[in-house]
Amino acid sequence: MITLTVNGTQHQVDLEPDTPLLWAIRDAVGLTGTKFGCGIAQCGACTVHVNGQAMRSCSVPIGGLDGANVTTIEGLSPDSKHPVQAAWLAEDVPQCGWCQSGQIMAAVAFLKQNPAPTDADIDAGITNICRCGTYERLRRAIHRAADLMKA
Amino acid sequence: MDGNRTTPILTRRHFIVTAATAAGGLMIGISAMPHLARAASVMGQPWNDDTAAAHEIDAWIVIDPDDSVLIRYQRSEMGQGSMTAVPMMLNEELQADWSKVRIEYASANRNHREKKIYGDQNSNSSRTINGSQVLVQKVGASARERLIAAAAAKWGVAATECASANSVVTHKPSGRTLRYGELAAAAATVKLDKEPAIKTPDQFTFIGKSQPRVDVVHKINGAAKFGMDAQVPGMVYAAVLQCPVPGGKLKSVDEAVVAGMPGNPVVVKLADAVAVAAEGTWWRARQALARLQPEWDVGEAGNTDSAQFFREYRAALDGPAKTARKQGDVDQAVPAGGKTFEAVYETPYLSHSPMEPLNATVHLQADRIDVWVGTQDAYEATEKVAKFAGLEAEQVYLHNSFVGGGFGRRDVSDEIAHAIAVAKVVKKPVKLIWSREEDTRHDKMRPMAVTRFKGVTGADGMPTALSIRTVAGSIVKAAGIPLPPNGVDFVAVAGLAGNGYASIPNVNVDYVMRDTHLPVWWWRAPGQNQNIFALESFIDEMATANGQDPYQFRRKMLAGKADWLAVLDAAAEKGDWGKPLPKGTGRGIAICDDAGSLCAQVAEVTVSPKGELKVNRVTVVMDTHYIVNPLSIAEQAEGSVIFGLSAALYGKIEVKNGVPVQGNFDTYRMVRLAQAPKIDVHLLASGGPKWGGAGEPAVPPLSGAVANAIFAATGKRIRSLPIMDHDLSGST
Amino acid sequence: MKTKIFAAMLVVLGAVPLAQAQQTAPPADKGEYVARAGDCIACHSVVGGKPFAGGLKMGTPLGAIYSTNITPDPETGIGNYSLADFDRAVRGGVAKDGHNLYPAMPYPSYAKITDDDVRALYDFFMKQVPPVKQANKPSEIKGVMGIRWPLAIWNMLFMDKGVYVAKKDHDDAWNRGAYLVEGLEHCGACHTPRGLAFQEKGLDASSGAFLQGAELDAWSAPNLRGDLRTGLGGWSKDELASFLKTGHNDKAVAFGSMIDVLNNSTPYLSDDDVNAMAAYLKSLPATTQQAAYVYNDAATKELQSGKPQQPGAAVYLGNCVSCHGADGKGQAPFIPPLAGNPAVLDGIPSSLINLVLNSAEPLVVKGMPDAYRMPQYRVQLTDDEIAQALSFIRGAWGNDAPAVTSAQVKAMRPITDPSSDRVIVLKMR
Repeated sequence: MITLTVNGTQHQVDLEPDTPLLWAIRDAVGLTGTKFGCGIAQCGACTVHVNGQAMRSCSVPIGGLDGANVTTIEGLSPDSKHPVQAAWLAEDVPQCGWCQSGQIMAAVAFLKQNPAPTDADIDAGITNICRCGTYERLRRAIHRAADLMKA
Repeated sequence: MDGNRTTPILTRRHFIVTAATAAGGLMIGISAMPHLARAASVMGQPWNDDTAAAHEIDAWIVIDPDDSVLIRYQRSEMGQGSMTAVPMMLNEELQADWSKVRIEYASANRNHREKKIYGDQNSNSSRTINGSQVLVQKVGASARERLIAAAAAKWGVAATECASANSVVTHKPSGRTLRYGELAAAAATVKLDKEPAIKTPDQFTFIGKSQPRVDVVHKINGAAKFGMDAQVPGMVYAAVLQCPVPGGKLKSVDEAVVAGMPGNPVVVKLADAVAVAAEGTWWRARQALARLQPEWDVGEAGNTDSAQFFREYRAALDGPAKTARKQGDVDQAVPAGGKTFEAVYETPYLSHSPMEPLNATVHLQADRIDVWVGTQDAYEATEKVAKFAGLEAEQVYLHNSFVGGGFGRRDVSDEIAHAIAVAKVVKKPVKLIWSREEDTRHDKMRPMAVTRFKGVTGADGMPTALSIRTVAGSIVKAAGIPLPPNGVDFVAVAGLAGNGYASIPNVNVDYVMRDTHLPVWWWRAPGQNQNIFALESFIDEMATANGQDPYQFRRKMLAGKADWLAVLDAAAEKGDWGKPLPKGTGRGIAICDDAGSLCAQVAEVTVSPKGELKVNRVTVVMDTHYIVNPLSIAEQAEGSVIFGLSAALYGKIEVKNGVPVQGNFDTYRMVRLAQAPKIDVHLLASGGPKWGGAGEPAVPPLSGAVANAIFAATGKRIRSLPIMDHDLSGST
Repeated sequence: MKTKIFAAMLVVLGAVPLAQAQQTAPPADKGEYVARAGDCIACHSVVGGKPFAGGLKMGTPLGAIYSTNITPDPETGIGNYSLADFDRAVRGGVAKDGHNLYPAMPYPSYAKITDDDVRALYDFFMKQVPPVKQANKPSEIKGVMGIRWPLAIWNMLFMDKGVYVAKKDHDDAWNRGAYLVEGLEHCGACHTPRGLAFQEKGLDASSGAFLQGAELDAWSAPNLRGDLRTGLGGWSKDELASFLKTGHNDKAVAFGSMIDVLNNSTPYLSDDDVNAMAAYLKSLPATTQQAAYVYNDAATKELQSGKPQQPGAAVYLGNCVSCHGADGKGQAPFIPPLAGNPAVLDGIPSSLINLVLNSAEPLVVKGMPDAYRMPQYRVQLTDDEIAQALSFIRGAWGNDAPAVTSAQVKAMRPITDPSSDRVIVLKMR
């Protein structure tokens, strides 16, 4: 039994220690905003925050996470008004939307470290895949979010 | 408001929208719209478990007493924005207050029960707008007229004295008003003597104005429900392993090895696959599946590989072929001072690889089956489910979800077949998910193709003859569509047999059908996604060898085609064609006619002395003839560029021992932010009889424009994709 | 680069362990147990082929050779071998017809096997292994080098004859460990450097070269001696035993040719035997004086700042950080740490380059494929980027291994390219 605090609520997860956090979140905790894309930490669709750090949850075994604090897209803000979410809306970023929870969670963590990023910083710092190709808007949205966070 | 028809916003050859960044926003900027109110909405769950509702005006429209309006959208939302655009078209006629509109999927079950009241439900071939426009305008206009008739009856006035706008009917002479919510019940019973005429484009007041996509609010907080997000009480999770060699069969598998593993795994043998269902989490099913060592019957296909396929396709260039197009005589003598050209172009198999791997959740009962899936065609999928389950279509409740990327993949329903097969064995609700590797390797691929061009240019440097022969797999055959009498798969030669270059007097286009054991299917801009690369590169070869500017060369070839020239000229202008560039940087241009729309692109690339390629910028001009939601068209163009770029730079599915080699994003590489060029999109709406599509036309020109830009930068001609297989070092 | 010859990559088509057996307890049959310990199946089978039917292509400096059919089929296998014939092949390197085996067959190590074990092994092959009719492939060693009689001379020069003799100054466990490590498990075949004549430079604990680490098959088999950084000096006996049992511990995860050992051999040994091997290995002294590895969080801080100064740190942030962590500690025991990992500290970077380019074949311990796999970066990162990332990793968190050059990565690409037919596919296992 592994104890996880997900979005502020404590959960006892009765799964094997090699289970990736992704599946614990989706299947045991029951939050489906975190998405499965590749299973090998290549696409980032499953990005969540573990103790404040962005991690690709498909490649994080829960065995090492007892007592960890996990934030998923559902817990990012109570009203979907986090500056990154607001910027995403303003730029109409998502298309199919499957990768976007991960993109947003990656961007939130990224902006904490780089509150005023350049395009080059963004290109190097956000490596999540979007198959619909929303990168143009995504880049703009990160800049917009940075501005919103400053304001 | 009714008479407010002053400024037609769509005029021929008039730029109306620019989503510009790199080019500098001299046009109306629509890229960011914080000023736009988020009006119409959907729920995070796009389907409704009840197929009918109280307060229906008809199957499409529900208006509650509080004025809230529900519009049913009959196709799928996979990011292309039609869930916003189609109701916009409906509302152009309905004249409801957009801020009070909510949108949900129309029920495929009801469509089956009520004689296809929603029409077709497919979202493919970029034809959702084209295929819905007349229908939904009629639906909206009819409802509006019935609301007006209900108001007129209440007031005892002539309907002609009434007008509607913003969910309110007004009696013009008296100024009396009634809200839609007050009229809906009566309107539902009104029988019009005659259905109203629908608006013509010059009468549009709502269509053509950017609206934020209705689904986006749910895609920033995890609320949007995709197929994989279905949660059914008591369900088990299933993972599947299909025969590594597509088409092979399961011979045997030792089930005993999963005994005692967590989740009480159950092994289910399918004809061509083995699945494991487990309790608690998909991970347990996946782990148990990993333990199995099935034996497969792979047949002869197990001895094949990509190099062999390409050898065979090349050899087939000299075999018998079917004629797709023939004009003049391509074998006539080369004119004095002329030149001859010959080149072979090759494109590999590609996987669709939507971000959401294929999955389906099913709950099979004796007299009913519920299916949660993201499909591009809920109607057809319902029919297939009925067949798989041995039920009638009316007993199938398909809860179509937001589609996590389709690109043509999500209308095969093979994942649903798996889920139902497992459910029959375990007798519980089943959520079946393909791993990424299964999704990639068991894709229905974009066909591979080998295309030979022979060209002749005259003394003036312009083409006098063009002979094209393509050897390619047949999607048409795979889809069970009868071939036309000439025996040519029209998809396999799409773009080759036309593309506007009618000025060439002597043209031959031949087709050789050749398939391997890999199944093929529609892949965003089928046929054209590879043919335009080859054709536009070869045109470039003829232009540059004759010392002609590739843009001007195309202008001359397109002489007399005003719509093509408008698109081409705009791309050249917006793409800064002809402006000086530093060494190692080049521009390329390409154009196509796809899904009823025209698209030209200018790509700018830089190749470093080490051979590293960077696509700096892509300028897109697209003429969809009409524009419903400029914002989502621009988004589709941007997305198409990236989709096309992943294919151009990295895309290939190789085969070794019959097995598709690439399985995940580490080997089947995708463009990420660092490789994403600046994209500026410019839209044209030239009008005319047909409404063009927007989801695909910006895919085909991309690879040609990039390859031509590489030639401009380096002098190296790219005749096969992907570009990463070419060593460009030392060329600049 | 010493040996471009031994390239080693097979297309990874998923988990295809050679062994069909799935039992979790050590084999009850003594012969099977000995066969496990000798890891015979790793070389005498091919992926998708029948167990022990041979056919595995092995690159040698002189040309490719193929492992032979050792099933009891009388025509194509060893069905006509008497115990004496069998013994002469296993411990003497001479086939029934009198020809000398190539020393790809680790008979210099197998020479130490006891008579009892040889008999058990013989019984196992004759009675337990199903016969398979599959003709052996001729070697591709050409011309004068194809003549086998010089091997007899080689044997005179480089073979220590004789069954393992217990060392009186060590306890039983140590001696059992020595017997397994030096003999049946033939660890030196990969981990001991070879001389000009392809001979292992040491065959037992008396040699300082024994298990000192060696480059083979485009992998660097790490130093198994007590060196504190590049060897196993920093591992406890329990950590070593856990590695042999599962391919994992808190310090490392198995890769490269070691995958074959874990897929087929050591996890099937008894706990006593694995502990004995660990005890023996722990007794091998260091060959170089090294300061103990000490963790240092400077790189962690650089990565966590989001403002990487070194180019390799930026590559690491974009590609590696999610699994191996900003702290370089990985997610042991599932995903290996890079901080202080002997394979990372190895002077020869072949394994690291190979892993980044091609990942590794799946580790399948007792029939269960590893839950997590390393992605491939061959088509995703340039030579420069891989060199930068590895140089960063080799200098971060207290690591102190030499930088990796783009030229080293460039050289490794073609010889390990899984899709190339030019690769000399082979394995010395």
